[in-house]
Amino acid sequence: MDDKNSRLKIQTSRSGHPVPQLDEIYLHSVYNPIKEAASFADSQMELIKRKPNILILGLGFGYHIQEIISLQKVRFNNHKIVVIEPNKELVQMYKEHFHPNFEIYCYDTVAQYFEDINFTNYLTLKPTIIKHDPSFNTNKDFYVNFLTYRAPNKIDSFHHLLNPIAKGMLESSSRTLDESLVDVSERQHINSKSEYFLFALNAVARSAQEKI
Amino acid sequence: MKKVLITCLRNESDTIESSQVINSFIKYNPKSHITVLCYKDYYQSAKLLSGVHEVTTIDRDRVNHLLSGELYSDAFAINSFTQSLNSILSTKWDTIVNLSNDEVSAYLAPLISPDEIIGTYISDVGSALTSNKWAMYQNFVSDVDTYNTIHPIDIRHHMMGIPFANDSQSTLVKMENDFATLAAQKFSKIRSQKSGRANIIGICLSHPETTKTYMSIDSLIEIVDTLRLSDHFIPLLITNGSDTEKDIVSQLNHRDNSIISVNADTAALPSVIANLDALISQPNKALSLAQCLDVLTIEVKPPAVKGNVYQEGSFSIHLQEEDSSFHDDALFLLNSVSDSYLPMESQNSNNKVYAIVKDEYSTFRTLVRGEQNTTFEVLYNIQRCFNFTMMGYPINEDLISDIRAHIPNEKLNSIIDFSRDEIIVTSKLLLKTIRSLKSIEQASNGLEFFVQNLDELISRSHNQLIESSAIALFEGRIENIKGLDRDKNLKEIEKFLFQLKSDLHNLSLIFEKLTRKEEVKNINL
Repeated sequence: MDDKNSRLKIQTSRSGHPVPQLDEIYLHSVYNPIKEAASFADSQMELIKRKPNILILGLGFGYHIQEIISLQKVRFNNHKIVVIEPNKELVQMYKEHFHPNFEIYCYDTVAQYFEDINFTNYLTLKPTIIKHDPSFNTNKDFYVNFLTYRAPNKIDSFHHLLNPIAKGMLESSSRTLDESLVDVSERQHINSKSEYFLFALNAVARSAQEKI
Repeated sequence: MKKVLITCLRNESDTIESSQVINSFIKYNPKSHITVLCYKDYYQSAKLLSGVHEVTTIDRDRVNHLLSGELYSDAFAINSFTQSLNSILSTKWDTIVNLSNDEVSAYLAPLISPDEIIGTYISDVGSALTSNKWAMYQNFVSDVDTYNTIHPIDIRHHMMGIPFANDSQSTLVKMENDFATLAAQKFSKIRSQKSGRANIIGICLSHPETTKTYMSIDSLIEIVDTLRLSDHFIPLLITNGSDTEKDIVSQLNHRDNSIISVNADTAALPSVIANLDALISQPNKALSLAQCLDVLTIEVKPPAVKGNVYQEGSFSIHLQEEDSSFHDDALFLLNSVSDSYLPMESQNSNNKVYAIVKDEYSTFRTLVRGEQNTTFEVLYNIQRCFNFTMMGYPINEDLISDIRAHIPNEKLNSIIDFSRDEIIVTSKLLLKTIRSLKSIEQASNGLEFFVQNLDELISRSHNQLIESSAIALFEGRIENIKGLDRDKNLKEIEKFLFQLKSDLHNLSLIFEKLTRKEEVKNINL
């Protein structure tokens, strides 16, 4: 059975708000999820005021996210919240109840997140990361894998992500970029345009590292 | 229409400086479509270049960030890079010019495969090939030329085979009309603050691109206060708006907050600089712009940084140390060009102050203030004379006469004797290399012995000797050997060894002319 898509029910809290229940675990307070979310956001204040961009691990039913957004609005003109949530059913249910004012990324595997260029672009902004504990605990393996992810670096593992021009420039191979460069250096002969391309790419990266 | 791609992938100042060469190129090749390739971080400066039809950029920060981050797939860095190059890769280029002599361009040029490459590019065996002798000079000799005898702008003109276009009507950098009009109005108002027509002296606070050192704050305070109190000068600070420079502005405004400061972005900077009567600056983009706009420039050059000034009439203060004071040098220069009398603390200087002058060979520098290190100045001039001779020019007889007229014979002889001793060592090594080349077949380790001698000879190019430039050029010639036939290649190397011998002979000839005995008698009289 797929952990993420275990029985998901929507209950109503004492305060009248919908609260998802996943495998007997409530993702928010059954009494007052709004109050709980405000308290949660307060506890994360140091992280929230650091940067305008925040990555939240776990959608829940968005109460914690709305509190964080309201705190962000006061501090930053241009802020952005992105949420990752692997449970498709939960995302679907959330959208039936609310209209999200933040971005949600929902993929089956960890690798798929990092293969999404828009998500990657957001990560290059180095957002603050805040985890929603109830969401995190119901899918710990996924989130731990997410936080410890390292992109595969063999060319054949990412060749499918290359745009058409890049595919024409770089042949698929079981070597990494660095290994390919070493191969050429040891061979002492540049055999193809692909190899000129690799050296140029390497030199561009070094020039960025060397500038003040 | 000829499609020309000019790559400027070194730094921002270098990109702005390229305007001179581009301007000359367009004058002699008017039917050319010029595209400049530069890094995204100085796109705004590249947009200022006159005569350029298109500017394409590489976002090197993004490429590096994506490549070095373990989270990110290398695919995204590659995609970013190829997207930058898309229009370039899909164009059939007539010519690519590796103007800034950088490594990226050296790999890109053969990748793009134009009809013609000017400058340095990498061969399929990884060696640095050069399109002509001046490209070879730029790649191999410039780095070992301790005295920086030939400015990159001159080298690049020769490399591209075009004369210097000294067209005073041409504008090397673009100025937006709105900024130009506004700047002219504001500067006119500023000038009228003092009786008559005041001279506005710009002081750019920014550090050079290669270091993060700022000019001595004490010297800046002295200069600003002296100009402020004078009848005919007004100081104007040019900043980039950073916190450090804001702090410097505060310190300089310590008296009455009356000093004008301008935080101009790249688009507006030409309009600001064009209205100055002089600019005092370290080597950075403001200085390069002043040079393009023919504004009197006083360069403040820290020890570890290469100077940028090349326009005749400019000056360069070579600081003794990074934080050396220089206010008296700057005030001295302002007095000399404007017939004023700004008070100075001292008539002497620990720095070396040079004026940029010109002869029929190129611009060069001459010491106008500071304690003369005769050996250094003589060697600079001899090196310059020799480097041009090596590149096919006749020996600069005027320069030789000038040296003989101003330097006592005894001193000249002692300088030359030291250099001669080094040349003797080089010549012996050269002869040893030639002999070992001729006897390769005579011993089992003949080739190994020859290569050893060759390496030892080439390594002398890094010893800061007068003949280092000739050895570096020799190294360049060897790098450019393309064939795979061993015997043919050895014949080529032999030819180049004799070429080096000829270059060293020319150097000896220069020494001989400098120390000719019959002329010594006339001077003594």
